[in-house]
Amino acid sequence: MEINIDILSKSEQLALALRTLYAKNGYSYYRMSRFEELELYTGNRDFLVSPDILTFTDKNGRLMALKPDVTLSIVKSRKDDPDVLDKLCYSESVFRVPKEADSFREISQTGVECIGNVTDDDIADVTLLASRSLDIVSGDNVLVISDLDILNRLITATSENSEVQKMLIRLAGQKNVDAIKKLAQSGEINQEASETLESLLMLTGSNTEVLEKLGGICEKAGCSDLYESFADTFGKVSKKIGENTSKLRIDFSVTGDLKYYNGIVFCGFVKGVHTRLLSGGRYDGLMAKLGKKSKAIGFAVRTDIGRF
Amino acid sequence: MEDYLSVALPKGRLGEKVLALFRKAGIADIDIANVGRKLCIEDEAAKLRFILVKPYDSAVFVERGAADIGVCGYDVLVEQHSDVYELLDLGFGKCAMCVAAPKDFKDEPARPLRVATKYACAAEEFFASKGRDIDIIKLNGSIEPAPILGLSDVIFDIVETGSTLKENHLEVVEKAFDISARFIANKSSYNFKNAEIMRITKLLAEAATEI
Repeated sequence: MEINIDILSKSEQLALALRTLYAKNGYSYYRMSRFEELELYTGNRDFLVSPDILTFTDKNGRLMALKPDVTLSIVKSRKDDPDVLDKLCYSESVFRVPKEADSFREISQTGVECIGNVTDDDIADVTLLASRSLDIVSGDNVLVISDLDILNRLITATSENSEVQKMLIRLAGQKNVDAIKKLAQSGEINQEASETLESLLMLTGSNTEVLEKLGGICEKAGCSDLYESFADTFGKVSKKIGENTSKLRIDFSVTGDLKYYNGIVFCGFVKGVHTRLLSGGRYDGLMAKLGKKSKAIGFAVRTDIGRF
Repeated sequence: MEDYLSVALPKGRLGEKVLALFRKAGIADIDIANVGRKLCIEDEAAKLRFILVKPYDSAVFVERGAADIGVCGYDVLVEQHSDVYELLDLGFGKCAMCVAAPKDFKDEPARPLRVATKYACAAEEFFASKGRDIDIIKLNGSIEPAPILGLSDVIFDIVETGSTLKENHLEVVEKAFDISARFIANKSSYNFKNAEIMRITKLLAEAATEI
C-alpha cells in the first residue's frame, strides 16, 4: 500500500513522526479503545490537567467519562509487575476545557508511558526522548527540567502546614518570590528555609552554573543525595543531546501535584508558541495511589499545533 | 523585529507610572508627554515595543504570547487565573479587594448572599473559602448603586481610598486581598528571551525599591 503523506494534516503528520520515533525506541502502540467509568477520574481529579469531565451513561446504566486523560487508563489496564519494563506509546484525542477556552475541546496528543522497573537510565532515556520529540516539532525548542523531590524537601522545610505547602507549590509555579518573602515576613513560614526556596526558584545562568548553585542549595537544605541523583540524570541527558545544551534548562517553577508526581518533571516549549507543548515526568505517587508497586514516567505532546 | 521584547502596559495612570519606572531604571527612554493616543510605542535603542492595552487585558496579551512581558494589577491575575510568571511586585497601584455593604447591613446566613461585582471568579473563590453560599450579580460598570437599590446585599470591588464608598453610604465589611502592580512574563518567552527578561526584572526591582 502506498501512502501519500501530503494528504495528512500537520497534526496527523506530527503524530505519525512521533509514533515513528517512539517505535524506533522500543515503544509498542497502545490504543484506548474503550471508555472508563467516571470514578477512575473523580478519584484522581488533581492528576488531570483540567477538572472538567464530559460524562455519559452507557447501556448498562454506568456513568462513564469521555477520555479526559490517557495515562490513568493505561496505568489501570497494565499488569502490576515491578520487575518488568512496559514501554507504551499512544496517539489519542482527549476532551478537556483548556485554560484558553470556555468550553470542551477535542485535544490531540501523542505520548509515551514507561511503567514497571523504571531505572535511572530509563528516566534519562525518557527525558531525552521528550527533547527529541520537541526537535520533531521545531529545532528551536527548550525542555525545562525540574525535580519535585528537591522542591518538596525545600517546601516542607519552609512549612509543615499542608495548606501552606500547597500555596508554596502554586507560588513556585508562578516564580512569585515576592509573595514568598511576604509570607516569611509575616512569620507564616520559616524565614531561613524560605530564602533557600527563593534562591532555588530564581536560579539563572548556564546549566553548569545552575548545577553548581543547585549543589550549594541542596547541601544547605541537607538533600545532597537528591542533588546527586538529579545531576546524574541531567548529565546523562545533556551528554546525549550534545553541543546544543541550550535546549535544556533547569527551572524549579515546573511543578506538579506532589500526591502524584515525584522526582524529575519537565515541560517543553517551542519558539513562537505561547504555551507548553509537552508535559511529563515521574508519577510513582499515582501508581501507589492506585495500589501498584511499579514505578512510572511518561509525557505527552500536543499535536494540534495548527490551533496555536 | 524578532529581537524586540514586547511589553503589555495598562493604559492610564498605571501605565504612565510603569513607563516612568522603566525610564528611571534606565531600561527605556519613552517620554510620556509624547505618547498621546498611540497604542504601540517603540524604543529602538532598547529594542522594546510597548503595547498599550486596557488594564484588564494586559495579562491576556502576556499569557497568549502577544507580549513577552507586561504589567497588570494583582486583581486581574486572581480573576483570570493567568498562567504567567509573576516576577515582581512593583509596590505601586496599591489598593484592596473588599466586601462592602450599606452601614446597617446584617448578614442572613440562612439565604445566599447577593454579591454585585465585576470580579465574579475572585468573589466566588473568596466566599467559597469561607463556606458562604452566594448569588453573583455580574456588573460591568459602577457597582456601588447595587446594594443601595436593593439589587445586591453587598459589593465585592476594589477600594482605593474609600471615598466613593463613603459618598454612597457604604463601608468596608471585610478585606479579601491586597492589590498592587505586578511585573509578569509569558512562560514560553521566559525561556527563549531569558537573559533580557532577567536583566529587566533586576533593574525594575532596584528602581522600584527606591520609590
